[in-house]
Amino acid sequence: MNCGDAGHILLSQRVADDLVQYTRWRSQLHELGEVEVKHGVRVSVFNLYTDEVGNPEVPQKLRQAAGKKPIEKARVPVRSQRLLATICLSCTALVMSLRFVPAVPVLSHVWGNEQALEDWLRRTGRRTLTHSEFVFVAISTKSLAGPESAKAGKDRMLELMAQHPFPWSREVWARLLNRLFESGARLVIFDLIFNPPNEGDQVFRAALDRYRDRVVIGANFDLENGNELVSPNADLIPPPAQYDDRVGFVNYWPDEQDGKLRAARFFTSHRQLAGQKPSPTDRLCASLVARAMEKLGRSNEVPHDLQDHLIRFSATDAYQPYPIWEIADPDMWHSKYSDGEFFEDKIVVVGGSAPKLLDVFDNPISPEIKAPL
Amino acid sequence: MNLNVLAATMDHEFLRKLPVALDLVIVSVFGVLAWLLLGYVGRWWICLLSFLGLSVTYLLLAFLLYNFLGIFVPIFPPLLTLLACGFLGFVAQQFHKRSHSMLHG
Repeated sequence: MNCGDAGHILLSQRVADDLVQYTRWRSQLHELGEVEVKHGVRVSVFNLYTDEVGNPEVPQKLRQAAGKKPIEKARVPVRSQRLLATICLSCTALVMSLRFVPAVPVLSHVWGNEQALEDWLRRTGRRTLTHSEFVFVAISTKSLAGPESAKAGKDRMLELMAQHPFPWSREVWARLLNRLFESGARLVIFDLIFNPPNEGDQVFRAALDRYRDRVVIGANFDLENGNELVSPNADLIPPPAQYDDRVGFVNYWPDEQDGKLRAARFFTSHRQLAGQKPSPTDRLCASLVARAMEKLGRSNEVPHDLQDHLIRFSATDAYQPYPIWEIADPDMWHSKYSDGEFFEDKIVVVGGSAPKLLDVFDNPISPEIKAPL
Repeated sequence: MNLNVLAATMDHEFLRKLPVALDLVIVSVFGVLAWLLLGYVGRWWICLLSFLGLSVTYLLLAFLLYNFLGIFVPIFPPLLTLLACGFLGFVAQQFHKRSHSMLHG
């Protein structure tokens, strides 16, 4: 090149592009702009100088040229920077805009896969600690089958369970409450809805009244039947049962996208269930868990709103079922439960574990989680 | 579900998702990071390592945020933004460099 003065080390764009990759040389490169060389060809020229070598002055030929660019330290060339900025901006804008168009084929997976990743975190990440004070008393398949005839005469509970198939006389539940509370249980939660009147209701009602501060039973909004409330019958809980502090709804509302349960709602109102905007004057129905927390004196720790709250699940095997027939059987009661010592200060949930009861929720953790768990 | 919910309520183990606006801010931050790395990190292998390092660090951060604070941050969209910007930017940079050197020697 014939455009430099004495001492100048002038470089073409290509050489400068290579040198700019090295920190050592980057600061020594100074873009001079374009200059016309032989045959009218224009090339970008860079001046390389340090304190010891080179010439920091702008070459005379370039100074004379019109439209000289200001001298600046070279990084990635400006045009390349603009290209990068355009690419990055376009990619970012595309990803951001896909957040609002979930129905686009293939591309919807960009945000749609987030649910799968969150579920992966739920499975591999930390779980809620297992509470040793929780006991799950299960209506298991063996319990449903009824006790062996030889054992049935040993205890009134076993006798009632043997008398006819499930649902048993409600005296069974009254006797279960007596047995558990006499052993020092703190709270008994029935994940059962005692709706149709049944034999033994009067005895069970007496037990529910006797232990009213330590027992909670279920009600259910039939979501497939116009949210009709299925509550304990009037012989057990005087209507309106849903507002009795011993009754809580057992419903959970699954994710609209994939039908999996990830969240709990602690309160709802008839207006909310009807799809209308809730009003502050609505009388709220509490969930089974909200009622249980109330009985435990911890209602201030329950979110008092009508929202669904995502929960951190416990370990899949956190709560093993204890079949109800074992509690009814005097031998098991003595050998396995130390005559009830096992239940001292426990929070007991009574519910179904038998597949026949079909009380299993789809969830992101395990297909095995049953309603009471 | 009931025992799971009761345990989570007693231990205040509720999970939260970030607001949509914050999700978008995170995506845009990753777009800017990609641009900065491409524009200001000279050597391509340092650039590549930076992209990988940033991705792994973010995954780790997402895991820690879930574990300790119960917060879900978006994972796939920000990483896709970073890596797509990185890849396309790198290709464009090389293409631009070659075409420029062919024109100007």
